[in-house]
Amino acid sequence: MKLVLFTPATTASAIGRMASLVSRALIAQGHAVTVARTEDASLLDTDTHDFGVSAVPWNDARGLRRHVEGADALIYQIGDNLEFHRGCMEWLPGHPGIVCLHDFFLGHLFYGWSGTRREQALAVLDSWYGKDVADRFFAYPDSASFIDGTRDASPMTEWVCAMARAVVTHSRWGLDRVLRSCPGPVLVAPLAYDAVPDESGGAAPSADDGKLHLLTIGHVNPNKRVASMIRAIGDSASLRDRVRYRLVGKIEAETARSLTALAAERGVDLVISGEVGQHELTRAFARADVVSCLRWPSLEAASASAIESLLHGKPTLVTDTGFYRELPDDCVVKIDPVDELRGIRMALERLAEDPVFRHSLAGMGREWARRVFTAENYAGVLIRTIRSIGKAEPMLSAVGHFASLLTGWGGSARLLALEETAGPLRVFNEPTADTLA
Amino acid sequence: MKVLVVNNMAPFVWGGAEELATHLVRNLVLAGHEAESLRIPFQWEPATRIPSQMLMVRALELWNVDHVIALKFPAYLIRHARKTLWLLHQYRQAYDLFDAGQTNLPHGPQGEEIRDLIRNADQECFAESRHIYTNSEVTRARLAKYNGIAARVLPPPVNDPERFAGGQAGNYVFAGGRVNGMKRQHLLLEAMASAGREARLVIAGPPDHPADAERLREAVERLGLADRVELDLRFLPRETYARYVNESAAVAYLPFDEDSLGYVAMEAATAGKPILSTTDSGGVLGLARHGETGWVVEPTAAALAGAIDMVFRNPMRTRDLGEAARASWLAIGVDWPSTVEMLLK
Repeated sequence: MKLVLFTPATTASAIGRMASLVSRALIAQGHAVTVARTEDASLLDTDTHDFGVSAVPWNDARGLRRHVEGADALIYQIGDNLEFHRGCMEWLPGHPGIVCLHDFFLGHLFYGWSGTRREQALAVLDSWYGKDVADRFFAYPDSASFIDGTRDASPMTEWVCAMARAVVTHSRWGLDRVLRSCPGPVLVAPLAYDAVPDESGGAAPSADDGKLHLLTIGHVNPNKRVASMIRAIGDSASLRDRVRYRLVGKIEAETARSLTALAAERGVDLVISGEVGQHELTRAFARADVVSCLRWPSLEAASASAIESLLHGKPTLVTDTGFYRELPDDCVVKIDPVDELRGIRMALERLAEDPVFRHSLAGMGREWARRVFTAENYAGVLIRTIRSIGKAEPMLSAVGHFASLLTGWGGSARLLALEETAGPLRVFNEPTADTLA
Repeated sequence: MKVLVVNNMAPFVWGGAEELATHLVRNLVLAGHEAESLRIPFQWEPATRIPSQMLMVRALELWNVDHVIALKFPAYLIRHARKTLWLLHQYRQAYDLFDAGQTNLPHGPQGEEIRDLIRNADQECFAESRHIYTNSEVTRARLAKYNGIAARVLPPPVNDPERFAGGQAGNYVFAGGRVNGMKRQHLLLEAMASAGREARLVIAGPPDHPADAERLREAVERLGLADRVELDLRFLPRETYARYVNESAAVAYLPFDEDSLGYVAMEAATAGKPILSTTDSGGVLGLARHGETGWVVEPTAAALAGAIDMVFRNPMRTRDLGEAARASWLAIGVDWPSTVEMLLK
């Protein structure tokens, strides 16, 4: 098949890294892949992951159109960030394809997209969520209140999925909104991930200092629960003495100051490393005994850091919610967000004191992750999705026809989606999500 | 020419619009055309189901048809390159009844969205139609007011005028047609209770629901009218219905805010019978004019009792009013050949 893969390609993009694996797997399976890189124009000259082919920038309309028009399918990698996904939003509305949904919450992407088209954005919001929600969307004073106010009321999942001919997502969490809005097939597939060499894993402490090395990676923000980790460690005399807690990833100065102060107050050994390169990140995983991938609230369709931790063979803490809840119980430790501090403390105490448990958890997690999170699996799902779209073509055509009639009469997407409207037409068969996990 | 008459269908409900469509087809054939009717199911309750039915009609494709004559919402949304509307009904609950707070559309934004949807779809349909006629002045005025469309009134002819030759005035007022609350036959019974003892009333026609019949029977019993009122509540053979009209002294027809002249009134006039109606009966007043072609009074039992008494007080006057009603109807000049010609223009 001839495929065009719209994706951020820069090495700074985790989605780009995943897409590069999938691209190479598709090529290995005999498909012809064109990569359309989707970052902001200012980022289009940055280094890229290895996709097995060179990338065409999204704003090279003439060059790209030739590939798009000759393609069997277009595949869009979409996350909650306009800076990396601008090209997707420029091409997707006019050239629908498969959307690989990396975040269920797309509020930031939408906010960025709305910058030059506020009236159109308000109409989109009104159509999906009603006027009250539309009126509030642009009025939040800061990022935290924006997420709080929009993650349930207007996550914008529907906005993107309605433009897709099919959606591949990476967990069942938030799936209802996808099913309601995507007119075509919806598949749930595990993310693709690099294999991690055996020698980088292991359950025994890798640093020979008698400490239990605890690691959190990624942009340090409140939903990564770092403050809760510090408090839980501080609540336990044994953990205070034994744990060294390292943060690797971007961190704002104010956040660093407040977390440092909190750690000092609670007697916790906290190391803030900031952003590091891939090599150092791999070393950080290697040195870690336990990795915290807590998230609350959870906004992602799947967590790259949790998968990476499992692939590195590290005992992993996750919040019992969303994507993380779907991980097998014997591969991770799940923390109840309602009783978070006690849950973290008890989990860490057990992990610190019970090397057999630590070893078992790490081994099970690694084996499961290696089996599931492969580029070959993901490429297979994409091809299967393309074939499903073919089967769904008559239905999609009917949906498109009715949608254009209704919108021509001034009706909204919300009206079309109502059971009273869609049910009697019987072209919107009760959608189901296939799962390959 | 191959002509398709497109109308709504509410299964097992048969009324004036259905009769009209049937006779239109018959008269198209008589005029030398091939003609058939297409009836499209429509259920207006719950109103939230209306959009899907609009979409279904719009999705239908017609072929082997030279000309379409469409009569009602949403059937008239059907697509055809040569479509003429003979508008019997817009969906009034999205127009004047909406404004009057008498709509079945949901309250709030959803109802407003469905109202706008109906209006926009209508507008699109009207714009693509070859000609638009309405069945009455009321319908024409509503179309002009809400849609800005100038249409011409084309009243439906009486389907079988030969049956309504008139005859000797009998001793009863006849109230015919469908029996339901909107047609207000019950109000005539209340009036009969205080009308003179010589007054007689015959109510004959199919009740919409058993409760409509029960309501009338209960009123006759309660008001002690059994010896002066006859209830013949069923779907009448056409000749039976015509005999009731021809042998009556006058015909009472007092629907609430009817769009059209109304078959009952047109057939009464054809038979030379004066028409007794009420001031809020809408299109009927195009034919029923107080003191000219009958009596038009306030929709109260007392006023109607007075009008019923007038029917029997001066038979000569009653007969003259009937003749005037016939002359008024004939002056409108409505017949099937010219109607068919207009609809195929």
